[in-house]
Amino acid sequence: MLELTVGALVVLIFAIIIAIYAGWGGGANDMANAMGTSVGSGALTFMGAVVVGGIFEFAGAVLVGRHVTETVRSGIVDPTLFAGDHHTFIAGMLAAMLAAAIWMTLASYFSMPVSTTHSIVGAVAGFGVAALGFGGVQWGGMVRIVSSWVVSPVVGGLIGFLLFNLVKVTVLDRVDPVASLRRWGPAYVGLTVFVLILATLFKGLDQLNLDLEFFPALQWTLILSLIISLAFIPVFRRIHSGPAGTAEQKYRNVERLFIILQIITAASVAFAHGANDVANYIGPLAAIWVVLDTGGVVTPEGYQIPIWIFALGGAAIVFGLATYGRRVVQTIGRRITEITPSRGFSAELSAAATILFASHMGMPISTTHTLVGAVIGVGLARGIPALNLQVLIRIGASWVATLPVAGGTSFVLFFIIRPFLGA
Amino acid sequence: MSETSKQKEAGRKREEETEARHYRAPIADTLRRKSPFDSLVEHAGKVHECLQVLSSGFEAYLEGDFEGFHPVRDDVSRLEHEADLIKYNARSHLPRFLFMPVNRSDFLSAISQQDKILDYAEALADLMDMRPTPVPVELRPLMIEHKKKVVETLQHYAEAVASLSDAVGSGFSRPKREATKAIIKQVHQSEYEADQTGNAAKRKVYELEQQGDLSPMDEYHILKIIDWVDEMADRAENASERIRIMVAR
Repeated sequence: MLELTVGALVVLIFAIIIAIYAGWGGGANDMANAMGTSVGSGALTFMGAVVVGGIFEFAGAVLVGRHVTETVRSGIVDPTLFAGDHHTFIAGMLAAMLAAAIWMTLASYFSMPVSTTHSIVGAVAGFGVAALGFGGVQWGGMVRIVSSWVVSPVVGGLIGFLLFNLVKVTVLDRVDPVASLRRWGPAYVGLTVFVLILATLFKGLDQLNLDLEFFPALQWTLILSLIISLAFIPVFRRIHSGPAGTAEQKYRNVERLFIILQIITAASVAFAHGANDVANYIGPLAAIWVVLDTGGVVTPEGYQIPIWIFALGGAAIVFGLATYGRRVVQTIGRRITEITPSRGFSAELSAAATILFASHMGMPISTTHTLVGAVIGVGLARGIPALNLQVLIRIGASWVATLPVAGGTSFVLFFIIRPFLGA
Repeated sequence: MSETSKQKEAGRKREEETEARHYRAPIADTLRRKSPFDSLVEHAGKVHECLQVLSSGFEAYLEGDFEGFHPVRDDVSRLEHEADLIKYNARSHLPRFLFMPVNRSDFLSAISQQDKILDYAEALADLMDMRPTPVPVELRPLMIEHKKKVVETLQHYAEAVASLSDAVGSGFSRPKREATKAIIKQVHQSEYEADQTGNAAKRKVYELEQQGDLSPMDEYHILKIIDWVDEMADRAENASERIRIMVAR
């Protein structure tokens, strides 16, 4: 490890502070969007959301956060282009962090449905252009990333549509939905943990040297999710569902049983959010750390970003939810009472699956926009009384605005910060 | 402002105070705070309330209590107005970009057919109040029987609306949709019976006229009263057809 000069220490501390601030603000917002559905449907209290969300968010960030972090660190602007001039690279990453943090603060202030992911990607690209001109950005990678922004909500919506229809066929359309859910519930638990465990085992867990290839990972995942699924059979059988009598009561009872599933899927969304979004806050910090740690921008073979950086990001996000998130979660929860546990389960599982898949591809996508897509998918399956599709226009507008604004701010900040670093 | 609405207002203010202001929440923006189906149910509640008032007032009127009918007319008129406000509100909150699990125009025509029930209720109350019309004793049981059938139709209709709301809540699950359709069948059956009893009453009116027991003006008014009572059941049937289309498929 390189001996830290005073200058390097100042840079590092500055970067850590920005990362914590961004994680705190972003965590409050994004996790509120992710956990709000569970709080709104009554599956979790706010404290429950903080505990369940906090544990899984942190686990996702630490266990699976590496793929997307690598993309933010080196997939948009190639660090090797700065060989011999790593001060410029550090200045750029600082500028990108700061630009994204400023834009997200403004977006939250004006309640624009902007994605943290989009703004960090835009900001990193902005510094690439500032430092190296248009050739400095890996445009092929950028096109892939930006197209994944369109694909992920659509895929989330499609899975949400199919999943809610499956829930209807297997449970809600049955004469005795409660009995049907007692039968099908464990299978749905199995499906949810399958997604979660596969994402963790398959090339995850590198910190524990347990990163498996696909087929061994699949094998272990199948075994583990089967065991967990079987363990849930008595849970679904025993849980008391309240007096059954009228059709109305039956329906309320089935929703009460769905709460078990919704808590599990809410945990998966938190896990997926940690896996994908931790990179938004610590990606540039990781890039700076790698330079300071190795003494150059060209990383040695097999170099791994230390676990404390992911832990720091995860902790900042959870801290944001716990401190600033309460009012946001309550406000969102109050507004989305139409999402009952059966809808919440369908939307959350499809969003979690989509986000985790994207995370594995190293795609920085918007977890919130994917969740919106999944909710709309459930609505298209006639699950929700009224969807306000105008939100799509607002989200689209925020996409168009985010790249140039975050990129432009980063561009300007780069020229302000660079002289301080003597580059 | 009444006491309850004051409390509601205070509750809303408290809620707004605890609301976070500066945050990004596309999830919350995707959903409506209030379901349009709730407006339909609320409006149906006004129909039901109006019918209760009118039904007892109608029986007293046949007994000759014309003075007691003034407040009935006022109540009906007030309820009709309140229902109108709900209808306007529901309509103005159904913009193009709103996606509903049912066809928008089916929903809108259900609420407007439902509103027609009240239009006839108000027209009937006005007509009865404007000209006190004595009803021959022989005719009274027939008209009360007819009114009962109309009330029955409207009760089944109220059940159909509640059942639609249930179906929406269940994500249009098959058992709920079947239940709604079964109730709509009852609406049709009652409406048919209302027609039969209405015709029996009208036949009696012509009979009395042949015997020279009815002045032409009384006859005209009584026929009109029977027609408009019957019209309420017809409108309920039309509205229930819209609901059937919504739950079909």
